[in-house]
Amino acid sequence: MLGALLILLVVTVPVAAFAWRRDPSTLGRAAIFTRVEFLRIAVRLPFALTAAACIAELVPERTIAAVLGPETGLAGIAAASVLGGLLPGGPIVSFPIAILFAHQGAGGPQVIAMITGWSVYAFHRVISFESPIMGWPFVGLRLAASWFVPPLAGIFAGVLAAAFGLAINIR
Amino acid sequence: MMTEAPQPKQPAEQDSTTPRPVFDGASWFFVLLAAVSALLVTWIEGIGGLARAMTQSATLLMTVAPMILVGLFLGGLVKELSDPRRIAPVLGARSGWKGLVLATALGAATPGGPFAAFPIVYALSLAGADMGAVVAYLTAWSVLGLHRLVIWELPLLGSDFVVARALASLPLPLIAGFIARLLIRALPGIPIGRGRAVSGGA
Repeated sequence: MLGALLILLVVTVPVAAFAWRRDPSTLGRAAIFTRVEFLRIAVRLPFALTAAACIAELVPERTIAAVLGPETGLAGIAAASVLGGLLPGGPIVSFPIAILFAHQGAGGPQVIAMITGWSVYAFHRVISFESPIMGWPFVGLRLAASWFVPPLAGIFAGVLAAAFGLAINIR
Repeated sequence: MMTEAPQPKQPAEQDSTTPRPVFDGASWFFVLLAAVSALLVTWIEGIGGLARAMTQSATLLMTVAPMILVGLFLGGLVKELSDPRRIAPVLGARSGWKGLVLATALGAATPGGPFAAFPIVYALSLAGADMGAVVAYLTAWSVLGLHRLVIWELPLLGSDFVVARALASLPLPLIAGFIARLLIRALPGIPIGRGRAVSGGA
């Protein structure tokens, strides 16, 4: 966890220095953006995480292993992609669900297909942002051009993990 | 200059500076979801199950909260530094693979949720970026999203997982953008963004 925070800081500090040199007022505007967005997230985060933890607790580990386990192969990857697209809300509830599933026996490629399915199919985002702003024709174009992305991400990741000995099955 | 139909509300201006209530409908959705799932856990697995879930969510909360804070600040900086009107011309219909690669890199670097990304996408398409680049950008933002990778996956799933997922996902936005270009060529005149013609600009 500290490592991840360190990486973020290592990236943020130079960007902040660059912004400061170009126009010092940028930092203030970025800080306002941070405060507004963080407040909004801080209000939801505890509830979202509680919901995610409870949902993960409710789905029996045997079911997770049977549907999304490492041995489920392509069928598991396909199921995970679709399931991911149906996950509700933004990253603050969907990521924890995927992560907790991973800790309860879902396979690495399946979790990757699930996360990618959530981000590409994103039914919730299509309804609330994409169709009102970009229109349904664009949604159709985007989905037609990217429907294969989630299963492919899972398959590629499995191949890479096997080739380079990466431990992507969390349990 | 192309003509645009007058729009009652310009979505590109709906960014985070527009005041939205902090506790909105989506927040109530999470409260309700938490309450119902907590009740179900208590009912089915007893207080012990609820305690396990609460411990887990508290650990998650303490892990991600500081990183979300730093990530948002980075997001704010990137948002301030990047101007869609300057970027869009580089992403035109004749930008080839270079345009798709650039769009993918920009998408991966764009932090924040859909509130931050969709106004950028809309502005890019208005300013003349081609739809292939826009699809590549959007796919990279959602699939690669470096901030999510660092905030959620690195601490909770480990570096092997992050490396495998990032490498596996890297070429996919490019392919999606390429296919979108082929589709646009096959079906010209798809209205995008409320009745605008697609292949303007350039």
